[in-house]
Amino acid sequence: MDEVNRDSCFGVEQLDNITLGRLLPGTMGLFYGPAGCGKSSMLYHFLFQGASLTNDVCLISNEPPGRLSSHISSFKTHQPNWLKDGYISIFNIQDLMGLIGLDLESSGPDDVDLFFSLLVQIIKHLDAKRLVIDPVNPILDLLEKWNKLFFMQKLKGKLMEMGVSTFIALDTGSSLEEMKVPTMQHQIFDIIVGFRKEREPPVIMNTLTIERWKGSPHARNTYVIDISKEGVFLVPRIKPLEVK
Amino acid sequence: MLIEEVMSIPKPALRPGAQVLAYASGEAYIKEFAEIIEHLAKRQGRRGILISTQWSANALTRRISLSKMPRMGLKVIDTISLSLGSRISSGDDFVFLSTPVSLESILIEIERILRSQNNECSFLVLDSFTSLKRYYTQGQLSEFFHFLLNRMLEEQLLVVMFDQEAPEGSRVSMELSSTIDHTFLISPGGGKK
Repeated sequence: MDEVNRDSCFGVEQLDNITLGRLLPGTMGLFYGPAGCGKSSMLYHFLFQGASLTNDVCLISNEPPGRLSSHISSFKTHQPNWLKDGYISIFNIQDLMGLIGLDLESSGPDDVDLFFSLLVQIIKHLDAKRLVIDPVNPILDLLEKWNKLFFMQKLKGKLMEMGVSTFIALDTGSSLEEMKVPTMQHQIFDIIVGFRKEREPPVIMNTLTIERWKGSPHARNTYVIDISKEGVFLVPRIKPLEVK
Repeated sequence: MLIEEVMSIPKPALRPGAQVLAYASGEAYIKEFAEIIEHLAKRQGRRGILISTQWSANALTRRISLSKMPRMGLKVIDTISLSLGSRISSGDDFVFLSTPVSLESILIEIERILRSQNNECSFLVLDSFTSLKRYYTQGQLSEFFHFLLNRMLEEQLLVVMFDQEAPEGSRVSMELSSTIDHTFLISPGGGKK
């Protein structure tokens, strides 16, 4: 695969095969589903792909950066220098909010605008080419409170200008519709992937369904996700065509 | 003998990625199965994958003298030992899955082995198509083999599958035989039909 193609790959081989790669700079994607379904691990590989091309990438999470670093480092597909040399930058959402004295209880709508500027400045300063917000839920709580309907749309516009490919993880129930989050208009996302836990006793499988890719509805095929230290694998979900 | 039959196929058909389905039962099956594993992994020194749905790890060790195989030569996806509750042999060459388990688990293990072996695997043997038919529906097996055979062709692995039932025994079997390169009916005593 040549340099141009690698730059436009997500970073999970089978997903790139299914979607034919071609992630354009400025793409914004949404991974939604219950916690523990593999969203984060998939998104780490999206960042690894950027770092492997010596691009700076950024992860904004609500987990402590120390714990995240050790989780990220546990993958064999991760190179130690990516964290050490700053190719992968990790920020904690609460820490970022704390920098400008922002919290859910006492902040006002202007503070949300300040937070928007802070996010944009950080990405600009890092010259990051890939961004992951995982999960976006704490930010959404804030947006809901102040009815900031266009925050995500504005953020997408800014990130597109800067050529940053972004993926957002949203912890939800089993369907996106259940969430009814007015600040997360689905149409702003070029890519939507739904994650689920499927129970087929004695096995519980994490699966993903590509619901939208490059802005248009996808075939909605479902794949089983396998996550191990070796990386992430996807295989087709085999469904019975008849009841046995 | 299957080996002789495979060898008798014109050379272009023996290219990497060839897919063979052998119908055999009883003693002929046991003999041919053991022989093809020994031929590929021991005599030819090739690396490969065995999906074992018929014998536990310990039984398999006796059948095909695994201890004499080159180390790391044969990776076994064992879907029977856990279900039988048999004593699990140690070693890196075995992956244990219980049956019935999702067919996706088998596909995932194959992907893992292919990646860990840096594409050095050159064959895949399925010891018994018949055993799978006991647990999975026709639709599931059709989807499974559709994906498996395509992946193996992409990776250019020789695939040898054994079916202990007659060719017309099931629709999946007939479907398979119409899409793969070669089918053999091995009669008791080793002769080909």
